[in-house]
Amino acid sequence: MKVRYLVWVILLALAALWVGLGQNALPEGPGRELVLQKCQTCHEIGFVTRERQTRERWDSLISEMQGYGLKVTPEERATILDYLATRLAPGAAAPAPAQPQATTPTAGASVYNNCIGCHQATGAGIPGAFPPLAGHVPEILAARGGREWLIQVMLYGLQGQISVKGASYNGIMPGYGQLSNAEIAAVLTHIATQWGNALPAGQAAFTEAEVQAQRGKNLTAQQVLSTRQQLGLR
Amino acid sequence: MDEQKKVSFEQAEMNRRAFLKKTAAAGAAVGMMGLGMAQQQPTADQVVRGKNPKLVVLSSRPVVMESTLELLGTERITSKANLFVRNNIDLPGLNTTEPNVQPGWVVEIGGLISAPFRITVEELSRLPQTEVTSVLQCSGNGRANFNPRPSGNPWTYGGVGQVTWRGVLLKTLLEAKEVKLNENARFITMNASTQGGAQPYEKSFPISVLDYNSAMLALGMNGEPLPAVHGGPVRLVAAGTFGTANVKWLAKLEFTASESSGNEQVPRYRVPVLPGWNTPILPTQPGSRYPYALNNSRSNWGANINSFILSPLAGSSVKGRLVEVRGVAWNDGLAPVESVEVSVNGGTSWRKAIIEGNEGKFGWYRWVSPQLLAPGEYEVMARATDTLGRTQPLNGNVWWNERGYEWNGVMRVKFKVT
Repeated sequence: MKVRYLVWVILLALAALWVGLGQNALPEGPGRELVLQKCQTCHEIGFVTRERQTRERWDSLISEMQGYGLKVTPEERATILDYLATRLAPGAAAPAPAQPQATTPTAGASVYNNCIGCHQATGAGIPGAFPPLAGHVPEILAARGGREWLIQVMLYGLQGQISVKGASYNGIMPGYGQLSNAEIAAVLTHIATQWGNALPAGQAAFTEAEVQAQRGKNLTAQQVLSTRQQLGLR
Repeated sequence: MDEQKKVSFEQAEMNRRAFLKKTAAAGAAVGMMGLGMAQQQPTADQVVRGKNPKLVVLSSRPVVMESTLELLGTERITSKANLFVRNNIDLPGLNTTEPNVQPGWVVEIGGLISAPFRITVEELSRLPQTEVTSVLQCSGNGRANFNPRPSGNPWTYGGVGQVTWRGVLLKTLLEAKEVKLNENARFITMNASTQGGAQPYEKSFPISVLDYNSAMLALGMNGEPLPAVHGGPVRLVAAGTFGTANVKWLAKLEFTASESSGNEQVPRYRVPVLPGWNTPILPTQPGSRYPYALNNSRSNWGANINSFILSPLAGSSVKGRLVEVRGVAWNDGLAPVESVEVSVNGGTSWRKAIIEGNEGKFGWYRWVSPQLLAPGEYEVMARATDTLGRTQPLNGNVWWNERGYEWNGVMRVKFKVT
């Protein structure tokens, strides 16, 4: 009898994992990074990962997105279509659960794939919408409370106009509280050390404990915006 | 204690223990499920300030969240905290249920009229105001019921609510400005603001919404200024229509000879029809493709007739024998909802529910069906019909359409009577 209940619990938990992961995780495969980069410029990746469509339907969905301003070369388009039509075909399984964090160190660069749609692979951002990380993250880290604030941006998002080096940006950053503490720490360390950025003297890599300390504050994206104004950045 | 009684007592005790174990196991699993979900999506209140965290977030960018039947059953008028959101575009800073205070916000009115003009929200608020209570529903609501599942947000039943709008009727505005319509005007075409670099959003309504749907420039909702996330400071509202063309953050409204040819008008938000043929939806083979064009499909305009069971909730246990099945029914307001029938035996027999009242022709008709039910498991169904004879299909999949709009299949709710 006991075994039966245990099986029940495990099955339901697996189902929960499947549902949960199905939302945001894209399966591995050639073209995955391109999909992340192109699609997330305008909308969260959940719109893609939860679909299971035929090649024909994916093809027309891509055309529809081109109508909305998606910019892809014919080669990129073919790569994206191949990826979607094979990895997200009708009946395709959700990707296998990620390995436990303890055994595989999280690479900040791979978590950063979530960010490149807006902040770009170069960290340069998109004028008017998404601020640059290159050259800007060290300024934030050097400000009093800036380190905690960066974690809050990751967890709760940011919306409303901000100004970076005299230029204003008005895009919307969604919260990424769904990422693990290890992933958030890794990606923050990544953006703090890429593109010529460096951690300010006396600061070390982000830790999971630091991220955990900011969870549970339940901030809104507007509250995160007003905290930025207290950092004294210009 | 005689032997027989003792045996039955032991049996009962064993059952009780088994039941407790089972519920504990299920509870643990549900708990883990909650954890799994919570880690994947931020909660509704984190995405939009002021929303009930019990809303289900379908997307945080752009904002899409659905309410639940449980929440809808707790309120006669859906509060701003519990109302669903389907935003196609995000305007920076507006993901909140607070008002959008932007003095001098201008709406341009133009196209096929005698004299185009611009009007500010302040001027609008000084014109005669009208209130209308209506059902607001995303045309994709219920999409998750279609099989195979079409592309798009997997709405269950929570993409709906009933709210009271307040604003200036478009007719009143035209009269106040002494503006005449050109006889070629057949549609109104609206644009949302592109403030903060938002993507354009353009939709059209047939011009009949002026007369039949109390089309208004809404400034208020539920007695408060219109919440920013729901389109404040001004939104076009046409009662009895699906939400999609009730354009938020209204910046421009034009009278046009034809409907918009933009993406939101075609191929999105449309269902197949035969040109000139009066079918509600042209049936198509489930899973097939359809070449949506303006002339072989129609936009999601008038809401089709529907009824939802709000109590008992699916999976719940209720005490018998008298069980009150409760819910709401609505349509496009063209004709009254005449009856709601309820079946507790899989559709073998139906009994008329009592319609307790309604919030005007565009609102919800509240109904109740008292049933005498012995302990056991039941599946209850509800079907609304209006005075035009329009009703709901027993199997909503007969109107499967590629993009999964306008589901109104009879709802089935399984529950237990103890």
